[in-house]
Amino acid sequence: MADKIPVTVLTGYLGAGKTTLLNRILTEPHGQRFAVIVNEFGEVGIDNDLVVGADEEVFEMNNGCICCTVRGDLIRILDGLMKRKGKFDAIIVETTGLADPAPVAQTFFMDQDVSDKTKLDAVVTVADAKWLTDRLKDAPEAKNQIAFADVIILNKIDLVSPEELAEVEGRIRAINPYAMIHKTERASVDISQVLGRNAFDLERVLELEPAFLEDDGHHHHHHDHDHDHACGPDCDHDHHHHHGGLKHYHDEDMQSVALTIDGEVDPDKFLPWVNDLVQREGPNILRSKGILAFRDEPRRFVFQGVHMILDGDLQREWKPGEERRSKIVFIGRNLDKEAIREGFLACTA
Amino acid sequence: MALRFGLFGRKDGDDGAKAALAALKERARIVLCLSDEATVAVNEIVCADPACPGLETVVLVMEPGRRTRALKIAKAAAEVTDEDLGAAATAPQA
Repeated sequence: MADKIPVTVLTGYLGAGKTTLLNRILTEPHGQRFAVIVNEFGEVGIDNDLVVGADEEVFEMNNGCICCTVRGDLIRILDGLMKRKGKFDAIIVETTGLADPAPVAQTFFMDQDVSDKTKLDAVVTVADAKWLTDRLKDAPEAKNQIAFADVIILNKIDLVSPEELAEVEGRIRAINPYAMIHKTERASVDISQVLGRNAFDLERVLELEPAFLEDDGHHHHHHDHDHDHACGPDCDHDHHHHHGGLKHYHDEDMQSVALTIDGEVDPDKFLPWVNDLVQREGPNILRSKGILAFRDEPRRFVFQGVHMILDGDLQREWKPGEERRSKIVFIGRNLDKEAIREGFLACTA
Repeated sequence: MALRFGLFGRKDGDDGAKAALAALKERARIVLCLSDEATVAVNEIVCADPACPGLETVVLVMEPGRRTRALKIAKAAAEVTDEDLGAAATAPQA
C-alpha cells in the first residue's frame, strides 16, 4: 500500500476554478512532482511537464450497471504512466465540468492493475460560490460532484455577500454534510488540505472526521439529517430552518440520511441488511459511511462505500469511557429514509 | 458489487487470482494479435446487481485509434481458454 501512487480527483462545474486550483497545486513549493490527467487538454495552460490528455471514455463493465462503470481512458493512461514510475510522486485527475465522478472513483476499485498500483486519495470538488445555488437547480452533474466530494473548495467567495455565502454553504450541507469545506478566493487553499487526505482509507476515516460520531447538537435518539421533517403534498422542499447559524435546506432529490443508534448493533443483522440495501439502492446511493459498535466486539467497525461497492473492517478499540454508538450516513438520490431508518433500527443489538 | 469488504484497500488480494488475471492478459495479447501500444485490462467482475450476470471475466482491449472493446466471458479468469477469448472477440459489441 505504501508504494501506491496517490491519485486526487479534481471535479467541479464549468468555470468554478478547477484549473486555477490545479495550477496553484503545481506551482507551490511543496517539492512534490505530479502527473496530471486533464480533459480540456490545450485549452488552458497547465504549468507542468507531465500532462496527459484524457477523453472521458466511460465504459460499462457490465451493460447498464452503474456500479460496474469505469473510465476506460483512465485505465489506459494510468497503465502508460506506471511505465514512467519514478518521474512523479502523485497523480491528479482533472475531470470536465460535466463529468460524473462515480466512474472515475470506481475505476480505482474495479480494475485490478489500477488498484494494485494506485490509490484514490480523495475527490476534491471546486464550487463557484456565486453560481452553485443555480447550478444545483439545473445541473445534475454539479449536484453529483458536491454529493461525491470528500473536500469542497467553495471558491470565489469575494463575489458574494456573507448572506449569500451562508446560503450556498447551507445548500452544500443539505447534500453533503461531511465533506470538508474550504472557502477561498482564487482557489487559495493550503495544499495540505487538498492532497494526502487518504479519504478512502478506513484507518483514516476517524482522523479526518473526529466529530463523525458526535451528535450534531441535537438530542434525538435516532435522528436523520432532516430531523424527521414531514413533507406534505404541498411542500415545495425549498424551505429551510436554522441550526447553529447555518440555514438548513432540503434538496429536493439529493439528500443525506444520517442515523444514530446510541448503543450496539447486531452484526448478524446489520451486515445482511446493508448488503441488501446497497444491492437494491446502489444506483441511488452515491456515498456511504459508517462507524458501528458491534455487540461483544471491542473494536469499532468502520465502513464506507461508493454506489454498490462497500469496504469495511474492524479498526481501533473503543477507548475506556468512550460511548459505544453506531452511526451510518448515506448520500444519494430519492432515498427512502423511513425504510432505511426502520431497517437500521431493526439491527439494534 | 455489494459488500466486497476489503475492496477499497485491496492491499494484498489473492495472489492466485492476480496471477490468473496477469496470465490471461498476456494470452489475450497473443490470441488477439495486439501490438505493444494496446492496453489490456482484465478483471473478474462479481456483481450482485440483478441486471448483471454474476461472475464474469471482462477483458477490455484499448488500441490507439479504435473504440475500446470489451470481451465478456461468463467464467472465472483462471478457467478462460484461448477459444473463449477468440469467441468473445468475434461476438458483437454491446
